[in-house]
Amino acid sequence: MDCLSEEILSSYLDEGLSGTERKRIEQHISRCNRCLGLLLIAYEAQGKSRRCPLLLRQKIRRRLGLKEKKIRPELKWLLGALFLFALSFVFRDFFLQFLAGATVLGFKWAMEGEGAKRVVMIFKGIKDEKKNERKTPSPLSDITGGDRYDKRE
Amino acid sequence: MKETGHLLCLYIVGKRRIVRRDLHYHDYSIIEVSLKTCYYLDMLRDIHSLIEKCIRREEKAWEEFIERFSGLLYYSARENLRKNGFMFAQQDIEDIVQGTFLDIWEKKKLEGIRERKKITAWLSITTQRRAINYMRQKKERLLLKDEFYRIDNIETDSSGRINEGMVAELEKLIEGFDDKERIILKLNMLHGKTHREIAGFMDIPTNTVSTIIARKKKILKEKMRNF
Repeated sequence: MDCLSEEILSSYLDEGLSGTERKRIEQHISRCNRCLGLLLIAYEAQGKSRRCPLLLRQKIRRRLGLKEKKIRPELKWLLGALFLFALSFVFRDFFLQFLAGATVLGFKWAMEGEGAKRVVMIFKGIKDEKKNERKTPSPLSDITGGDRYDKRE
Repeated sequence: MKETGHLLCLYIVGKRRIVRRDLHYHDYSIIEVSLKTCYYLDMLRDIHSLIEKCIRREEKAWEEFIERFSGLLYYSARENLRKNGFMFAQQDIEDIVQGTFLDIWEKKKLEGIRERKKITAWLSITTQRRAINYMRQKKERLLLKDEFYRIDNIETDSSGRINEGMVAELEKLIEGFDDKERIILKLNMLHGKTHREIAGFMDIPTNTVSTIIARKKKILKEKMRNF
């Protein structure tokens, strides 16, 4: 028995389906248990709102090549800085105070950005490397057995 | 209000009044419908525009499409495999759901759907068919690898599975009944659905379902006595 296509089968769950179409589908599903089962699950699935695991949704997005949603929380600092900067021109008596506030928020925005974080990491890396360099004893003293001032005899 | 056929919904006690404005004919007509119908109309309109945008490959529409229908696909695949007695892992369901979305995206299947309001049923059925094919292919793959010992893990006689012998026996007995009656009896006796659930599924009154079940079960009992 040839099974009906997905589109024809799904039309059975449409309230506005004509009588003849409905009969045609019923004729098939009354004899085909597989299609009856498919339709029954489709009917049950319609009324329920179910959520798919978050990780799976992310995987689907990746496979379809959709861009990942970028959340940029540091933007709120930038907006705050701009707002204070604008206020400094409105309330001229408190120009300096608003400007100072805008500078603080602007600094916060700059430091929380992805680029700034990378720069901080690079500097930390360089600093750590320098510290390690200082700690390592000079290989010369080990070989020659120099005195406590690290001078050759 | 620039959109043709724009629906303006106003709340009235227990009902909503829809004012339909057609810009082409400058004609205003007022239709009173129940709240349920109005929500249904809103939802359909939403799905229509969402699918149109998906066909145009708008990323945000696809994000919304995945967000809205991934749960439906996940449920459909899992239920189908469970009811058919397949033993499956979480990874299988994930592969099936991902594969279905990828298929729709790559083969541009949404363009082929004429009736967009049936999208949920269509998606569910497509996923279920994919799930069955996936499990069959998995079984074949394992057979090719001569891993016979693993076949038992794929298909088992779980309690949820419809008993083949019972179906054959029932089908023989209900051969003379008409199509509608046959569906009602199968749903009630094999799938364990209530009268109300069957009525909702077939879009007929519950009383009709109850009458058919009572009458046909009586006939079946008489037939069984003769065996």
